[in-house]
Amino acid sequence: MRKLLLFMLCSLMAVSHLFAQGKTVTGKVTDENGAGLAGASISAVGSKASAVTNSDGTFSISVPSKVKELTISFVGYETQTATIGSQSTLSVKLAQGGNKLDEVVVTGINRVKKSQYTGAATKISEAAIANRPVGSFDQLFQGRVPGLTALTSSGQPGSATNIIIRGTSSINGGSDPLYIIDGIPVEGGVFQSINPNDFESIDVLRDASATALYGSRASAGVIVVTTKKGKSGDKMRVTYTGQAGVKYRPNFTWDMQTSSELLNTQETYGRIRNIVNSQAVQDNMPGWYFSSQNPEFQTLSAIQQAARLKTRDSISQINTNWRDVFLKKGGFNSHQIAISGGTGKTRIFSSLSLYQEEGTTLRTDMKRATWRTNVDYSDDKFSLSIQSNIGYTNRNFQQSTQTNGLANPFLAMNLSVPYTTLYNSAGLINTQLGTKFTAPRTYDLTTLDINKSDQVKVILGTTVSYKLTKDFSLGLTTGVDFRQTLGTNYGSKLAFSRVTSTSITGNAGFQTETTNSYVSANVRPSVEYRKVINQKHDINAAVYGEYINEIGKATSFQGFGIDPRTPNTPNAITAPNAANQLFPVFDKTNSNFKTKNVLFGALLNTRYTYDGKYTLTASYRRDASSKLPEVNRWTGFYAVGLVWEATKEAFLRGNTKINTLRVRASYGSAGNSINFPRGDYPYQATYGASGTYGSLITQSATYPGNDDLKWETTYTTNFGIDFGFFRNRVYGEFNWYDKRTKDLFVQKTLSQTSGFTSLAINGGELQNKGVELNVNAEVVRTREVVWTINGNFALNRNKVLDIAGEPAYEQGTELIQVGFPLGSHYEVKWGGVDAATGAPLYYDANGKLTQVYAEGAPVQEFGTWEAPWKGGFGTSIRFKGFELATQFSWQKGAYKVNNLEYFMENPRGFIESGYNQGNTLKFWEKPGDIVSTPSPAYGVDFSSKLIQKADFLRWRDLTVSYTVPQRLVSKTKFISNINCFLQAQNLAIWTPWKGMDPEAGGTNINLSEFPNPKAITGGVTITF
Amino acid sequence: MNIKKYFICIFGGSMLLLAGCKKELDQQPPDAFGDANAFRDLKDIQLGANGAYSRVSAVANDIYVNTLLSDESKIGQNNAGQGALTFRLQFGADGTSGGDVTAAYASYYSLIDQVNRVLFQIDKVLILPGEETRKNVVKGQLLALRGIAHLALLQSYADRYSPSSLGVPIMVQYCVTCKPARNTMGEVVAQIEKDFSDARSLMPAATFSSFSDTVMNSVNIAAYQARTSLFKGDYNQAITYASQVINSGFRPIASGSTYSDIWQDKSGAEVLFRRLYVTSTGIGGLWTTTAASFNVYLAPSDKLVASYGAGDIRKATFIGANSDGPYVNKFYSSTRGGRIVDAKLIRISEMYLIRAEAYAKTGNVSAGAADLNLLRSNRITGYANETFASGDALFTAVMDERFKELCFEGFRFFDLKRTNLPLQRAATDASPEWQSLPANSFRWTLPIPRQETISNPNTVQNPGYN
Repeated sequence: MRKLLLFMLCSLMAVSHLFAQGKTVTGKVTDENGAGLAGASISAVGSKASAVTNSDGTFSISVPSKVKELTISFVGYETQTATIGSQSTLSVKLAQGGNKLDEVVVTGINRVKKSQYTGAATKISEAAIANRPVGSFDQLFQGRVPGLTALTSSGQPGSATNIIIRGTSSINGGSDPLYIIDGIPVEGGVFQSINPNDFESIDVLRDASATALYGSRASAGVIVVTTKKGKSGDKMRVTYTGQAGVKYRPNFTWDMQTSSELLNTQETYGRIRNIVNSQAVQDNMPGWYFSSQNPEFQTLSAIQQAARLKTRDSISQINTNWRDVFLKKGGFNSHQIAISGGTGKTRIFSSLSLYQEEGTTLRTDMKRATWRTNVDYSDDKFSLSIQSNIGYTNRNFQQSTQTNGLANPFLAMNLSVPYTTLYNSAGLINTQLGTKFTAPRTYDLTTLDINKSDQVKVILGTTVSYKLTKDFSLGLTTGVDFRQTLGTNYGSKLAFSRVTSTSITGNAGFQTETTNSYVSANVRPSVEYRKVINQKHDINAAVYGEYINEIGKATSFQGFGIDPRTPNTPNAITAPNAANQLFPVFDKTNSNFKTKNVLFGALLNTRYTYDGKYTLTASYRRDASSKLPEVNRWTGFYAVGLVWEATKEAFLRGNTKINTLRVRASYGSAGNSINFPRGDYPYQATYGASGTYGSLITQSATYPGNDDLKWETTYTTNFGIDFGFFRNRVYGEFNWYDKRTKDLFVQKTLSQTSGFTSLAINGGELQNKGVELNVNAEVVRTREVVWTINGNFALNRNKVLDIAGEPAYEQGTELIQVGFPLGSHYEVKWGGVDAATGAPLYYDANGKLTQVYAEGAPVQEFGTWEAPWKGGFGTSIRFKGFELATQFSWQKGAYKVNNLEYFMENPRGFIESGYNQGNTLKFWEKPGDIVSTPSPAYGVDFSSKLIQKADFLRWRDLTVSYTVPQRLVSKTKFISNINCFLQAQNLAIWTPWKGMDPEAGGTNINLSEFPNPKAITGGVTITF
Repeated sequence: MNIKKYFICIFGGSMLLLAGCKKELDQQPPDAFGDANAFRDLKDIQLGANGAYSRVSAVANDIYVNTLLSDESKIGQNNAGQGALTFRLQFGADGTSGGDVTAAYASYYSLIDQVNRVLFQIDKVLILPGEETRKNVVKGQLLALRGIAHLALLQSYADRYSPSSLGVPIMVQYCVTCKPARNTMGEVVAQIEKDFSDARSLMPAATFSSFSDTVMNSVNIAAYQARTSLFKGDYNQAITYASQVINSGFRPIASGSTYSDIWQDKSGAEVLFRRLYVTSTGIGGLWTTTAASFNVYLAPSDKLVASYGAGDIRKATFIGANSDGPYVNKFYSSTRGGRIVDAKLIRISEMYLIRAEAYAKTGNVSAGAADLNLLRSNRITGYANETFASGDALFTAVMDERFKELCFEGFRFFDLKRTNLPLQRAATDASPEWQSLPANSFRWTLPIPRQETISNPNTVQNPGYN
């Protein structure tokens, strides 16, 4: 039936072109699986005639009779030449592959041929995204894109990754890129409810050519996701993918002391400090209390001495590895059914997926269900694209994982002494007062409390376009991104920490309910003009309008008095009254809010290409945002760019070594509205009416407002070269950039005549300057074996050029100072341990050593947390049905504060209080000892001693797959393809970092965070 | 072609949407009071005015500095450095002396900022019929507070009055990022006088029953006008304004126990304007700690203690004594407990002293003597009127009387400066290095805060400081 239809269609077309000159050739272009390829170019060799395939892959071209051959090309496929024999109907099957340098760059606003794209863009293909056991797709970026920093701060299932493209570009604001999915802007950093298996590709756009198109929003780069579309083929394809595996805790670079080690350490400590026995010593330092070296020991009778030694020995027999208690093997499984296909003008892709991940520590998991349906329609005038995605995620969380509190299991498991057991002889959790019971108490809290979040995310988008005339078309893109997160946190009154609480609400148990919603809507109409004159002048101009609003709302309340028989429901909250004093708490400042911002934009985007060789682009966008005061509300952004496709020049034509050479340059500006500090109303003064004068209420300004507020604007210059050598078997891109953020938000002291002392105002300049290189090589390319290697490398130098004439000022743990990169640690310099006395040494303001910490002066010479050098490399081998692909990522030059070391190697502060120490601990015992930890007589203060290299090389990704030969599969009749695969993440890490995970944790300092797990999974994809 | 129509509808509709939503760009924070909703009506304006009155607490800086930089105090027995560098005349623009002398700058401008923000709104808010009068009163009060603040700034940060010398920046509109240059003293005084007279023209004449010393009104504004006139040396004008206050008779001069009750807020006598301290100690903690067994940081000078003759009730009222020695009893105890006591900002006795000084300067010795004698007879039991041989003699007597009467109220340093007199402390009150300050020293003009000269390059620092 389909064949008949096709025949009729072809015949119709043939008829319609009957009167054309020469002859008409019709046909169909398909991929290897026989699915029609829409948009493939057909050109007649030796003539100007050309055509493009329709949505189902069919084409029709009128050519002069002399024409003997047609060239068929399509992005992502190898170009083919077909001979026109006597036949007038051609069937062309294109092989996948082709030159990556000819990919289409998807900017989210338009699609541009790489040969006409003036900026720096990198595409992450489906192969690097599909079937990865991660809950948030941004975790996949590390090592894939040159110049992109991707650090995942927590191993919690579904954690978002901190993405920075080309360096931190703001002091006060953020540096998050703008995320676009199929043309619709979506909320950054909240991706748990999006299924990356639905992605076709991800384009990472780094320079002004793309960022200027988004005007005020994209100064930190744009990440554009394109989801899968149905392909018009001869049948609907149903694909099932099932995957399961395990997640492991990572290996740590150090261990804690065992019981016997710790008892010995306590003994040495007690001896050096001459500690006299007491109850506290018995509780906290049994290794010393029961020691034969203890002076008290000699005063005891032989029986008593024997008893002490026996006690000490029995203590040393208990050896609990608390890491084993809190860390565990996690699990992972997922199932997905996708249908894809289409006939004629309509194509459908629809997928349903379930994802389940169990974390590598107690009480952590993530479950997700997503449903995406993409419907596309196109005829010769009209096209329509609808995407809908509904995702639901449920997550469980550990408590306090980003803190230095002992409720944080990742700190408790390191700090707790090994000579206690989790359960007492009665089989109950060993919770008692005293530091010895730290870990059991944390365990008790973990098992009794509940902390969950439910998230619903909906992305809906529609793009329509209509060809008004041959040259003009109208378009409209509209979309909604909706996300609602409901959080519940139950604190059981049975937990030891609550039973022992001295406050009424503290031991009543609590229930916290939070809601947080985000809605963004956007409308983007467009008019596009495109004309090719004399086959030489390719002109494209488009005008867009844009409206975007973002609305956020959150509520939160905490009630008390929860009966443990009805945990984790708001209804269990005891009604408050004066007698029970269980009044609920509303956290007004942080957890309850309502906010909205609105943006209007108008964009003119133009391109002119001459003879396929020279392309000139220019764009101008004017944005108005409700975040800015009226005087500065409308802001203009622009970009200009140039590409020279040298490959097409006569001197390179026929060159066998240099097959591609393209030179690019761009310059332009973009604003940082999505990363702006102070929320949606940053310029407006706020008034507080909470003060009093006598018995009267006063109202006065609490924030002065800034009537002259502007965007921080980045101006990026980018030069690039795309190259392909040796039949394009070695190809890649090189980029050099200089990104300047101007009108930087800096904390400026105000004239006191303003009534205020300081305000963040626009001024100053920040520079990110660097190079990026991306090289791919096909080492072997035969019909049976394809072996490729890839590598990317980037260097970024961040530097504060100007802070509006202000003197350097402290912000967090850094000093904002001209000439230094942002994130530079500002800390008292550690001078080592005095070998003669065992005292800690610090440098004072004059660079002299002092033993007195208070005399030390902080300096800024310890590097920055943001690695200037980073990259990735990998390889893939395809042999017959087997395929192996692996990827490594690395960063170099990063320094972070290791807060854990402060606890792990600090005997004065922690041994005496009854905590464990790292097995790397070696403190000063006698004159002449050259060690890094001072004598127990001295404490250790926070100094540059804790600043460590956070460099790493990570074995990030490994995929091994096998496609069952077609001849075997076809026997089944109903299965068309079977692929089995192994997929692993974070297999290994090599790092000088002396903590759990150099990547996990805050940007500048690591507390005791959930380390990123490794995952090993296996799965199968069956296409019916 | 249905699709086409449908499409054109969407396209046209969205264009209309774009055009129609332009006012959406004016988003207001729903969670906070902002410029758009903080002030809606006169009630809100009143809250803003309350805030302005609250910020009159800036005066505490003047009270403290005038005590430190004068001969009315000495370092107390428990002083651990509080104000000591300032007392030793070793202050600078950078806060080396703890910022004692520079703090008033920001404090008064924050008062001015508050006034200007409320004044900006007052003509925009909804005024109901019948509220117009009240609105004008509040507006007048705010203008008056602005005048007070500018005058205080001149007293500290400008030289002795000369119309052409550098004053301070005039701020009559709030501005966050402005970097105003200093106006001349003449310009600033003209603005102060304008604010006071505008204020008075906006409010009805005060009546005995309506007079309140907690808000600005036509009478206490006149008192500030008298103070301003004296500052700029316009003696006739000073006599006029002081007479308006005295003749109103609302707050006659007090004597006996009523006088000592004033300082404990038992009596409202004499006070024309006060800054309330109902719960916090405010100025009550400037010289001593507030605990029951208190530490004395600054003590009354021997010179001051010795200045009170026999029968002078002020000695016991102002000077307390415990086992360690004398302490400042003014603003010390209160009916509200602790040191929670109102700051008395302008009193009727100052009016008599202003008029007496003005008469002395304009040659009307007998009228001036009458004012001075009236004051003294209320302070000294068994006082016999004194006659003065000349205007100069009367002037000297008035200055002496101001020393005794207005001590610890923020006058002495300003008075010495205004009248071009040197500072001379008693030998027992200070080490020789900081016993005196000649009248021509640059230190009479206090430094503009360093932070201000950095953040506002248009501000010229006063000579001698950097």
